Amino acid sequence: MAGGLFGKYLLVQLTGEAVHAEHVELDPRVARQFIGGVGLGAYLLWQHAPVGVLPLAPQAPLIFCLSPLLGTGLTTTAKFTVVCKSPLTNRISDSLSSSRFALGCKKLGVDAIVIVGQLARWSHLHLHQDPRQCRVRACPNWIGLSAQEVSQAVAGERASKKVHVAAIGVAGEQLVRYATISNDGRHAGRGGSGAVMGSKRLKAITIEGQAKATVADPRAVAALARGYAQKSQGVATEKYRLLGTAANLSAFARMRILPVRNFQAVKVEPKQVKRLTPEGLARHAGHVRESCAGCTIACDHRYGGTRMEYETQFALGPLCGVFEPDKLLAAARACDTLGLDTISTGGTLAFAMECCERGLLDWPLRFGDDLAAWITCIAKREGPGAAMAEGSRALAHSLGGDAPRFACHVKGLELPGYEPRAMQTTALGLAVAARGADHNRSGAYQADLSPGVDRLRADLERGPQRVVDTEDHAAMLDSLILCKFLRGVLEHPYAEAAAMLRVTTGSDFDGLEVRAAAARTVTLRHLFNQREGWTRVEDRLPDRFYDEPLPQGGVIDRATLEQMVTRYYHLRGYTDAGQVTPARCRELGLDWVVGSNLCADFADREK
Amino acid sequence: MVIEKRPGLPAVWFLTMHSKTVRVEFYGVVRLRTNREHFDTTPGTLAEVLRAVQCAFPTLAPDYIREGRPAPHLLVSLDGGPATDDPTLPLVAGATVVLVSAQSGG
Ligand code: SF4
Repeated sequence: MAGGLFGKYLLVQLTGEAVHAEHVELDPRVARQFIGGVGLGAYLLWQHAPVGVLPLAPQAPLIFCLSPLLGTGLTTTAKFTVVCKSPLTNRISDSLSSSRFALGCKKLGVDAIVIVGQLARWSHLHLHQDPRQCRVRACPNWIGLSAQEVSQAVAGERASKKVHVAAIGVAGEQLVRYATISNDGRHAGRGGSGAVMGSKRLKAITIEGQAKATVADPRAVAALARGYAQKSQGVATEKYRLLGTAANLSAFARMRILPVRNFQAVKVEPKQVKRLTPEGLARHAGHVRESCAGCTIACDHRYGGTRMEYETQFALGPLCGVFEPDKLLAAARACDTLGLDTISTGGTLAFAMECCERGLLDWPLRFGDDLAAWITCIAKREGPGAAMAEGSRALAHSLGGDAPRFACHVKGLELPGYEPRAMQTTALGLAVAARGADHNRSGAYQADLSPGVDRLRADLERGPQRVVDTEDHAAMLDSLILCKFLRGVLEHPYAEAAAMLRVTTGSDFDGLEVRAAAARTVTLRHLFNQREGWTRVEDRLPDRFYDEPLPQGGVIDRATLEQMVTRYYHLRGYTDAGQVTPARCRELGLDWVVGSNLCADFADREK
Repeated sequence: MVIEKRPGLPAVWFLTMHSKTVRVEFYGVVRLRTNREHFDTTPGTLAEVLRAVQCAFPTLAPDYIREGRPAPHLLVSLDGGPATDDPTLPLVAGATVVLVSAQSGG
């Protein structure tokens, strides 16, 4: 077996009040083709999700994937990815989380954990290095607790404080479609993996094991770890270390790319945002800096004990017309405690606020309101919260009429904090991303914020290639799994990634092979969606972005974006309709997909 | 051009004062390093303005400004518009330049 890996995964089947766990061998070619993380996750999802499975059905898998670098001591690698079919989008979902739970999972001696089935009662799943010792135990007393409270309860039951717990909050219990899975104060956020865990009646997962993966060249790994630890203290990460991503808020407001009031504007008064900046929040509530396990950057800035990063700050702040530090911090705290994705929570609330303003809803909800009580309603599905728990797309459809025009999502996933009308490469990246409106699997915003790129105009020639490049780059980082905040440190990302894999696994990776693995992963995610019924109409932005120019100027030309989407498909080797052909699968080494459980359209092409 | 109205001062006076200079605004780490929100300097090309900034705030060199050019970790934008690194870009009186640490996202 290649170093850094175990060559097997743990398959956990839940039924009634019992668990059956077993090791399943992984073909070594899989590790070579997909590396780990989101790549391995896409592969296992394809293998384990029955075609057309409903995301919250017992047969739908919930997958935790690790990586060869996890546990090597390389900075920022204490991460795992959670992969499932999203209950929010009905398409692929992968989200990353970090810290001690990731390191604990590696000690199980497997490269991934695949959980299928459903329990009869709310339970706690204890996973053990020896599959025969995996257990479930009913946990009625934990219902209604936050993930943090569950962790404390678990720690209280055990002599060792070194217990690794991932749990869902109230939102996951209530199957809110954007519920998170939380561990060590971190959250696997987007896409609703917490609802999938809840659908299996799993309140918590704990880990027990002592396995250790060997690496091919321990001295070389240690030398690389030292080198990157040192580089991680340089200027490339200075923003994350000193201020965190929350520093974006005032800069983005100044660049007129900060979405405000459900993407109705980008203009805010400097005085308003000032109170929400890292400096403003620190003055208001005090500041401490924390870190994921094994990270030398430490970007985790907390204000009054509440973690704050740009996306949370944008979504629960200006997007909802909120500019008061106390309201913002209370809303962020509520999401963390209840287990909700902050972007989808803010996006759905902002959409509902606009509906109320327009008289489409008669709820007493207005821009600028205190959000915490509404967030609790969402998590508990109480009153109007039940409709918002389904996300902005479902809420818009239930309202009908004009509402879907300004429900700001792609494929059901609410937009992150980048105004696409003023960032036209980002507009394409958001439209085509397999996970839905997504800044983390695309990173096209980096292209828009580069010198020489006129982000206000669509660039039909270069824009699609930029999206392909940033998607591949993100897929590489998310497969290894390296924190995105280390990316500025990598001068030659693919070559350096290959070097890390060589010394860890002992396999002769090179930069080209790593890039090919990233592109394969992007295509497999798209193929999964295709298999589940995706068509090109899903790769679009909401009408607002085509029909309503920003007051400061900037709108998306529908025909041009469609042309860019087509060009993007061609660069990826897809047809005009965005379909992946069997021939393209073979080119990418995805031969096993051809003839397997494909959607009807794909099978027809093969004939 | 930024036209600010300060209490007690006629807008015309303020506009005149401003229009003689180029305003450089600092955000993020650049603001931390300079410990200032903005800096006014004389009009010129982008390279000349950045040199003046570097001279006034040596802590920005070489990480953010090198020889009057933006280093890879600096994002320069004219009045918050698209990013530029064109050293010959003319910055006339009344122009505003925004300097931000370039690694964004998250
Ligand atoms: S940079 Fe931040 S998110 Fe990334 S591993 Fe470190 S603490 Fe975690």
